[in-house]
Amino acid sequence: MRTVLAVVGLSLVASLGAGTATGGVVANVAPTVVVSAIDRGAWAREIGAARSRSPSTFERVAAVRARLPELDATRRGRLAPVPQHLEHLGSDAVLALVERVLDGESDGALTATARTAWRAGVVEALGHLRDPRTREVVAPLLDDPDPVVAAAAAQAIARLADDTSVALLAARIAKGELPVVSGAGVARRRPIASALAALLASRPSTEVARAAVRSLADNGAAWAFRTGKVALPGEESDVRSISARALVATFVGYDGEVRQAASNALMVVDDPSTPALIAAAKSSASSDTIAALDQLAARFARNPAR
Amino acid sequence: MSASSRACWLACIVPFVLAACSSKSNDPPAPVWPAPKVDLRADNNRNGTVDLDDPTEDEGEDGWDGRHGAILLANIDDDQRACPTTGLTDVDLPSCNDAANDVVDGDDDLLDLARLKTAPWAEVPEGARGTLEISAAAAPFVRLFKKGPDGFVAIDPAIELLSSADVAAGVELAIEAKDVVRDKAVWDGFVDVTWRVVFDGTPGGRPAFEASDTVRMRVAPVLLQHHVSPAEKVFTTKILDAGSTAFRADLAKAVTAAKTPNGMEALDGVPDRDPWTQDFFETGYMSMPAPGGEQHVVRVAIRSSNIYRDSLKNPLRPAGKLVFTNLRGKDVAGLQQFDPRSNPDMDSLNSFGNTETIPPFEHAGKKWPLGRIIRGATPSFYPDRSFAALLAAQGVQDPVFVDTSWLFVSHLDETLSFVPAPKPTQRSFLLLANDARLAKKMLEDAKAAGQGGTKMFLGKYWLDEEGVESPAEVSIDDVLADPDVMAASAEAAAEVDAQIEVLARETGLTTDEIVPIPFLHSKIYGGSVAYQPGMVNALVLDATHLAAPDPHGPMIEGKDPFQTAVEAALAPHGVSVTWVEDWDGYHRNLGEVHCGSNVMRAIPTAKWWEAAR
Repeated sequence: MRTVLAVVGLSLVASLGAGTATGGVVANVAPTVVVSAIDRGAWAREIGAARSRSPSTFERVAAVRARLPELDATRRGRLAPVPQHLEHLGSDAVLALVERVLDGESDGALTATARTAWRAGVVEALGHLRDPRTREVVAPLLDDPDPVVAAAAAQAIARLADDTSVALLAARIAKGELPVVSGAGVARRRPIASALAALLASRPSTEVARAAVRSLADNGAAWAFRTGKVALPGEESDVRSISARALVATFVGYDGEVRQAASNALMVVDDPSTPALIAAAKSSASSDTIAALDQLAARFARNPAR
Repeated sequence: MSASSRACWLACIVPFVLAACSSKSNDPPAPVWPAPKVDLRADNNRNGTVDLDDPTEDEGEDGWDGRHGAILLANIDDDQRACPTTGLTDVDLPSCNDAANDVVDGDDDLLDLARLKTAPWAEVPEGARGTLEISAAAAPFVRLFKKGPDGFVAIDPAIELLSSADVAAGVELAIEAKDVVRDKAVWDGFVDVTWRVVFDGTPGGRPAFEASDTVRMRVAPVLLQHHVSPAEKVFTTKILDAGSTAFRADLAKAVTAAKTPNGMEALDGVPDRDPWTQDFFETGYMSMPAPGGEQHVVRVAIRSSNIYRDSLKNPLRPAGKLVFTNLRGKDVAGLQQFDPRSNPDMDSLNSFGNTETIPPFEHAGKKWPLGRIIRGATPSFYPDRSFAALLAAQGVQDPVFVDTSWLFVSHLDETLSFVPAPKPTQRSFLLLANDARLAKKMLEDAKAAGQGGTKMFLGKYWLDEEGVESPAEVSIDDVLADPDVMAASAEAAAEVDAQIEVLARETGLTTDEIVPIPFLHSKIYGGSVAYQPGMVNALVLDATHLAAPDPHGPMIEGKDPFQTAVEAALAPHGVSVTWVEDWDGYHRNLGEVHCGSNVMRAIPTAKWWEAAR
């Protein structure tokens, strides 16, 4: 497939393909990330060949699309569960889903929620298949005006978890882009932890801070690392300790919903450094904060997620 | 007659008496006129009748507390089923009800009106006139009727003058509220009714006087029902597909097992075939005292404030229309409240799967005999504020809020539920709480026992349209090795723990009152959902019967350990479980048994007016 280079975002230069490790903190830097642009002709040929090989996969995707109005009308919650019906189709479905991403969804008869569910759902399902070729298809959607679609794109790229993808996301986290902050945590990579930690250190808005905290929890979840199925298991210790440090600081620096979210995230990350971090934080805290930290320490001692 | 009305009379009459006393001693003594008898009675003592001869009917009548104070109902049912069920918009549907006109709509309607009487005053001087006054804040929300030869007729207190003959004979009155309290800042639900008799002075030499008597009434709050009250009727949506049919068949078995008095109704013709019967309406009730220590009850079906359409006339979730077209009727009111400007990103919080009621309890010196409402909401993620104001304004079941924003659907019933406690102490309930940590441990134990290859979700599929299906089967090993499922489940463990902390703080709940319900989570669109059928999302039929989703866990030695765990946890509390097949119809669309059902429950014997709120 022919590759056309295009600038996506304003961060770190990363090589294409497997990429080189970028590892550390990227916030406060404004490098450039370059990924390949979409070669629609090449994708069309691939899709055509895949359709010939496995027409049933395309039919399955079409069947879900045909049910979209019904799924939307009978949805429970914000959006119809499109990914749930698509992500189990297996790796054969990559090109069938790419076709849908490239086509967009122009059916004017769809409701706004149906359109969002379909566009985000296809991207999310594609992400579950973790095919690195799809990054160039998904990356432009990071700028989609629909934040649900943009977050699904961030998540899909995060699932690739390679250095290029992670660098692309970390650069956008540094800019506080909410959809990316929300979606990047499934990477479970050190650069994402560092980027989220740096973002939190900059004291973003409550909304962004809360999303960053939750993303740190996802990225550093102890149970996820215990599966051994994350991209780079060797990063576990760094990821969890970076996350714990940022979360304790956030717990101290915020109150209300962000503080509660930080408490919950610390349970999920379950890093052994947490008690010491809490103790250290108490040394310069107000009496109210010390009391809250004591409660946090007690909660961590009986961690409901351990 | 209250102290205040006595004082009012004295203020008017004393100057005349003093004037008489100060006159010369050889003048004939001034006549002493009997005190005016200006006495308005309502059911102040809450025995269901208005008693002219019972002094307790008069005590503290101009106040309202846990012991005194009369009650009226919002007469918004449709006793004669006269309201049209077609052709009305969302905006117009609620406007038809028994309080919408100024006539009494039959004998049943009359029962929904609270009564008042003025005590007869045979000696009232000719020319005296009586008036009735409604406190200004309440006046737009109530209607007063006066009994005449042809029954009760609406009167306008502002212009209606009662003759001295009326005053002499006494008049019978009835009062209805035209609406419930929606916003305390607009109307707090209290109504002061004042009976005033004015005499300008006259023939016979009787000096002028003005005397009055005031009774305070309160409109009955809308109360939500809790799981300690047994189900009287179960509802679900009738959808003619295999998944829904299987669901209804199993749910019907559970209803039969519980001997639910009025069985199960599969609602036909639900707009959009909306399967989430729990979400588009809620049941509650209003009540006022009735003779014999009973309550006169009007049930209330409440339409969810979900906004589905960009339409001024028909913005609401279509299925909720059933509140008015199907459920409203004799002694059943329909109610809706919504703000068309509410944030669509938070709309899921307006579904009633996100509004439950903590059953009765006592904590920190406060009694909550009808429990407290519990909803998912945070300062930044909250349901329709106008509806929240309506719930708060009822003033009896003060809402508790927990964070459900981490859940994709964001409904409380995805993680918590309540069952009656077999031996209630300070709390009448046990908490059912999702326990993802337990679910993980159960799978790890199974794996350690050599069952890692055993499949879960056997025979289940993600899609069954036109025979195109994706198997849902997955091995225990694969589940435990799925970092996304594990991360989502760890998050659920922490978040549910935080929800329980709120409940413990607000109710005094202790660890031994929590029944752990094991299931894992996964994520969709970044939000958490039940990965396995969420067994906490169950229908509580009564103190001993629960209908819960079949978890389709791994079959180990012929048994599903997830079923076994829940059955074993509930058995000591006397609760048996009927497993309901909900995979196709509900689970894979992000809901379970509770989401797909609704209930009208028995009316609690506890009376709201004794809660002293």
